[in-house]
Amino acid sequence: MHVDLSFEQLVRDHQAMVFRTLLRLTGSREHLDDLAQEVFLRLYRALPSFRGEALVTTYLYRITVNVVQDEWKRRRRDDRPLISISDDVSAWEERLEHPGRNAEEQIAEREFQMDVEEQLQRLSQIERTVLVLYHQEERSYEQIAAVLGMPIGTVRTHLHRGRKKMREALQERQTKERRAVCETKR
Amino acid sequence: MRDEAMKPVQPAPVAPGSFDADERRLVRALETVPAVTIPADFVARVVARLPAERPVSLRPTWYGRNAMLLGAAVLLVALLGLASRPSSQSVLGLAVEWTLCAQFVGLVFWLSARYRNPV
Repeated sequence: MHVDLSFEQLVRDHQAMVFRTLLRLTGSREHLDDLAQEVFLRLYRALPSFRGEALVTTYLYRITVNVVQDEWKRRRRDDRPLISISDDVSAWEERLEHPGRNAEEQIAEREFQMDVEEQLQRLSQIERTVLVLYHQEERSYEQIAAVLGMPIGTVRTHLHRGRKKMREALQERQTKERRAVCETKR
Repeated sequence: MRDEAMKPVQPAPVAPGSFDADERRLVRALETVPAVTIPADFVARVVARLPAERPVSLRPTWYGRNAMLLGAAVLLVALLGLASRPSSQSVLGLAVEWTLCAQFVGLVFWLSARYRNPV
């Protein structure tokens, strides 16, 4: 097969980034492998029109976001419930293990992380994408604007609005939990 | 970090001053990168699915930009040539000179805006 070796290298260099972005944006480990393959196949098909005006990573993020949008459309058509990241083989728990922390704190932190993941999936697609690209992928406003094709001001608005929604939802949940604990103590 | 580890696990009542702490905790959770398991043969599987007929080159092409630079250079030479001639004082000469000048400025603006900082 006549494939430029640099494409293989490109896949190797960016596969981790594509996998983790897909995971956070779809909120599920299901079909992650297939979606990642789709991202790279689309990149391969689009490369002849790639003119070097943007970085390959910007191009790749754009394709990843498009693949996730298609996946969400497909899920909506199939009317399938969301499967949480933590339902499958969860790596969150392993990552949260910390020898310096006691078990209760680790559990609390794990639960908080799961709540954050759940709330993230309740945001609009655009807010979720902006939050993931900014916080997880550490992209700048300019890069996110280039990926999503929107003005920088709009990116900022989505970021603040998304974080505000999540903070309010998490606080509301914590308040409810506290109330429930108080009632059971009585 | 030690202070943090000593904190009680039972969540304290939400105080107005806890906004920053909540925000930091949320940001920390968002910044936690999920661990993913990438199949060892992932690259091989992607390559196996590629259409065989089209070889791919990652080398970016700059045909448009080069053509623009060439055009700008030609315009500059033409402008210098016209400026040194006495015929450029005529109405037609001035009109041509201004037209070329406008084209040159337009090209320079377009080039600088387009290729200033690719993201």
